[in-house]
Amino acid sequence: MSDRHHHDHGAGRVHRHPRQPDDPEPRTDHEFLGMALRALLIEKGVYSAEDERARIELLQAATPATGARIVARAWVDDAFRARLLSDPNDAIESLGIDCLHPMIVVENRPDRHNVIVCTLCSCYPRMLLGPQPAWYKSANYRKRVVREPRAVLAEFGTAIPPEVEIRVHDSTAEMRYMVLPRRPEGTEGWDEERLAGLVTRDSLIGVTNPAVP
Amino acid sequence: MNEDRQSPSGPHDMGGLEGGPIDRGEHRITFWEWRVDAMVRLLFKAGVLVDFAELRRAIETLGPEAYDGLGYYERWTAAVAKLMVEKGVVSQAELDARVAALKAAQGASGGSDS
Repeated sequence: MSDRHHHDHGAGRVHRHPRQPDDPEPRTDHEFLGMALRALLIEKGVYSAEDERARIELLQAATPATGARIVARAWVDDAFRARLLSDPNDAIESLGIDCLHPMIVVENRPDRHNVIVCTLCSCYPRMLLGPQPAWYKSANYRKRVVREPRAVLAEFGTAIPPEVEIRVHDSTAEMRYMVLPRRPEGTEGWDEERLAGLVTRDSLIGVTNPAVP
Repeated sequence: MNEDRQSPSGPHDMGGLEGGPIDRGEHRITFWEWRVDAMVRLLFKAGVLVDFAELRRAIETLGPEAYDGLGYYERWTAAVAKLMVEKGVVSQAELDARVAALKAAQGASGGSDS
């Protein structure tokens, strides 16, 4: 198999990419179909095995730490925060981060909580948050969060008081959302790195709030 | 949100319908799923796939059984395979033959072919 290859990384260093123990061979018909299609596309030169390796590396490099960094900056820099809300792509790119898609950043306030979903499929700001959690793509989340967001948030352990409005934002391939959570109390004087450590994937989706441990 | 909606436009159009408990368990993306993910993005880059809307339409027309019965990346796989055959990038015969060859190879090497 091509993933058990040896290759040269430039400076004469050759190393082996080990198979991961939980990297099973294809089992279902669709797994076989996917791997058959992949092999044919590579053979036909639509893309190369090297293109695939590089793309997987890029996809795996995207994590919620990027979103957390953006939020921490907004918490310490009011001008950045204003720009993030009015022109999110421009603000995010000023940090050297490429979002790939048009973004809207929605800010949690004392009187308003925000949560994101993609009811039709699974659109998500992947470059800022990494891969979607499985539940974000699940039928039950997609069905229910627009119908009974307060109950869904409660299942995530997030109690939103009745007087606080909840806005649910339905993403599309052309427009993706990220939540700007509220800065937790008790973090006065914290630096950006420490603040970023409080911001989780789920708080950027809006199903939880960051909290001081 | 229209709570009285009776006939959504397809199995994907589920926002606002009744649903059950959300399984919040984390899923580790397996290597074959990363490969399918990369495949889709590389097909966009190569201009073979136009955009996500094209992929999404293909997924939505797999039919309700496929939509409900397949995993997320299985749906992507089925939809991309369908589009690649439609576009003439690969033939159905080539795909079928390669699937059979991969299954036979895995069986021969003592894999988990059932």
